[in-house]
Amino acid sequence: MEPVSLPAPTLIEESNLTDWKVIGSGGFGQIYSARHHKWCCSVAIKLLHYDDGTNGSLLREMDMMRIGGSPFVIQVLGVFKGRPASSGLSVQLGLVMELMERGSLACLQKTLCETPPWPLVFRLAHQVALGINFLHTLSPSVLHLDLKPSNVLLDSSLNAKLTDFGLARCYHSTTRLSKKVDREEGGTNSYMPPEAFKVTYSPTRASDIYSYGILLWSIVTGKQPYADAISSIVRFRIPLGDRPSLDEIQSQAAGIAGLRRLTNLMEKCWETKPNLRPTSHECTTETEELYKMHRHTINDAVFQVLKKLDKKEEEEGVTQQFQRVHISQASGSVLMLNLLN
Amino acid sequence: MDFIEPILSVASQIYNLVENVKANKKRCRRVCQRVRALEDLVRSIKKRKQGQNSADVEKALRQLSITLTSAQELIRKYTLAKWVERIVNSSSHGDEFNSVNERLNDAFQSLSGALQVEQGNMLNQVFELSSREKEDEVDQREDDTELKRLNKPRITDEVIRMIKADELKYHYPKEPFMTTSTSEVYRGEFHGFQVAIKRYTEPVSTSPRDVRSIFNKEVSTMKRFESPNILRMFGICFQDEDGPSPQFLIVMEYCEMGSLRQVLDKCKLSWTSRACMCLDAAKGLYRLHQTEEKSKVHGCINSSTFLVDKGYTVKLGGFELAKTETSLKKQAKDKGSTSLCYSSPEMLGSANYVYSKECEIYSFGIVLWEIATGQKPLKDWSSQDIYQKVCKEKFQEPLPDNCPEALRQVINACRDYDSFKRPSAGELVDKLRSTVAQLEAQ
Repeated sequence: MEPVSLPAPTLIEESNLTDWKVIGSGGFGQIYSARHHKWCCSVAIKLLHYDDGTNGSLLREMDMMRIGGSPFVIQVLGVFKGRPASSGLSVQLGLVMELMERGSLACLQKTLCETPPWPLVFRLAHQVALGINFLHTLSPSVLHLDLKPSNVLLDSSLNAKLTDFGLARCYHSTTRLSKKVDREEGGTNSYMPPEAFKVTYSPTRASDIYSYGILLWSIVTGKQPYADAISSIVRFRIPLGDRPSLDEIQSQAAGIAGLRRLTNLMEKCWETKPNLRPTSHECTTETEELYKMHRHTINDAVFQVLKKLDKKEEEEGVTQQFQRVHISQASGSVLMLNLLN
Repeated sequence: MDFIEPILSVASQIYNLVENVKANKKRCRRVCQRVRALEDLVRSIKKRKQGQNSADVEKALRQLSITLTSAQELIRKYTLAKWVERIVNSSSHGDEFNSVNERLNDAFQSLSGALQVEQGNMLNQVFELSSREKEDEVDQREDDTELKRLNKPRITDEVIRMIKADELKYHYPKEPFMTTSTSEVYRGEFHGFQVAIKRYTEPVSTSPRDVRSIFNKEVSTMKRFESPNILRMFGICFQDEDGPSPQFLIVMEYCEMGSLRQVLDKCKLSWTSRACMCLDAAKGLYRLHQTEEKSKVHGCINSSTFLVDKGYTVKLGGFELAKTETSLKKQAKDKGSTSLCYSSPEMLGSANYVYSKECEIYSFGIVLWEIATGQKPLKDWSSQDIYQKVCKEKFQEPLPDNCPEALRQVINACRDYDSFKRPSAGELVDKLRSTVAQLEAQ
């Protein structure tokens, strides 16, 4: 399963890190920010709750993320091993990553409560496509398999990067996953393709493209798909062909350059038949062209949103709006354990 | 207008009954006073010419007629000597008056709305919220003194707040009486109240500071639901807040009998007690759906969200502090294993359907069916079967032949395929109260 042979990870010790702050939590650990005083910058650290042998998934995730090298995928800077200030006695392992100041797209949507300015919509659509395209063009391809707003992080200028490789895997055409494994590791129902609800499901690149289609809808509307439906209904209705409603978008489409084309792309991405969905390359070429139409006003749009975010932050007296990454619990190989112990 | 005469006749029967009540005199008179105020309004409608009244007025009158019948049944109870003895020992009769008064107020609001009665007149004063609450409280105190009821501390006197760990006493041995995939529930005591203490066992997906701010926000904006038919929340408690694995506890009212589902699984119940349980459940739902201020929906009505205390009072749980509770759970809530048996036909028909009170009444109808039959709804049916039968073939699970007719009608109306035809929670309370009174009289 190991994608490429990797150099040993940089070990980052607790003596280098100060000012620990909790900025969010995931399924199996809290996420902190801290200052790396030698590097003179802040970093994000994802720690495990308990050192109970489930380190495998974290380490596998790290492996997946270390293949990095794209500006649209979160960079892993090293591995933390030590006792963080607040944790008492036990030695813990963690991933040290670049800190994304503006949190996740999910946070942004929650704060704005409406569609972001159009230039930003088109840039987000394009940057997410770039991230997916990077993963899919690696050899072998890496599948993300959990694309959703909370796994798209935003830097200080609202540029998007993909994160959370808890579910990611290398694509081998021969790998078969039983339904059981799929259920346990589950993605998020609303973003999962219809074929994922069948007994035999082997994820492909087209699975990510489907999720990208739904994610596009969420970026454009600022909403969550099937907000009122319980997940059993979602699981049941998706294979029957239900998709998020386009009514609202279509009523706006005439006035916004490229919105109709973006809607078409969305619909192609969420085709029921995987082979009818476009490739990540096709998506990226399309979003690139669409983003070009809005590029000249992107700075204004970003500034406008940042101002709004700062104002909200002030109002709420909350000093942080950092990432709140949700990490799904996933059991995986224990590739790096020996190396670290 | 063929509603008007029956309304006036029920009203005059109420006035007669009130003269003979043996208990709760004050509150019966207050109901009477409010009925008189409404009667004036109804008489003014009578004076109008035919055809002047809109559909809204007719609808409001129809509702009022049901409410009055149900109020009449309530007052009749207190004219019978055998009731006096019973109510001294019961704890929930106060609430009967509350819900009748609320229904009369609903009737006033919709009638005056439909008639566009000017604000600020005499009538409004009778139904003004703050004075109503004050009057009702005084009435209750005086009635209770007359009945020599002990003035027990009331559960709603406690505000919802942050609780310190040392305020909680646990029952020994300290073993959970209920365990779910995300939590353990312990028995304990808090300021003299029997409480259930829910401890979240999974690593949570929210930091303590966020939980605290969500909690504070929710408590400040939350409408307090003070009703014996709504599960009372006392607050939350942090343990080891700054440690590596902080723990969160939610403290709530303890219900001896467990969930409604558990009670239905193990108890043999008479039709009267089944109807009473239906009425309790409807009162809980009505409190939530009620029209004053911004009404709310529960979003997850099933036989496990209702709890039952030792007096067999049914209580609706699972929505006070709902946001705080959600923040304590892992985001991936259910893995799609929840049954679709509570989903209304229109929800089954589209994943994009916007949830409404009508959807909720359908789910509630399924719960009422469970209370009536004791069985589990659409047991072992697949999603596909449920969709085919319920959404395509308009199937309703049958009620037993010996089910009292009035109860059957209520349950079937809630489960109507056409969401427009389902009753409101308020109508349900009225109809079920009449049903219970009829069954008790037999």
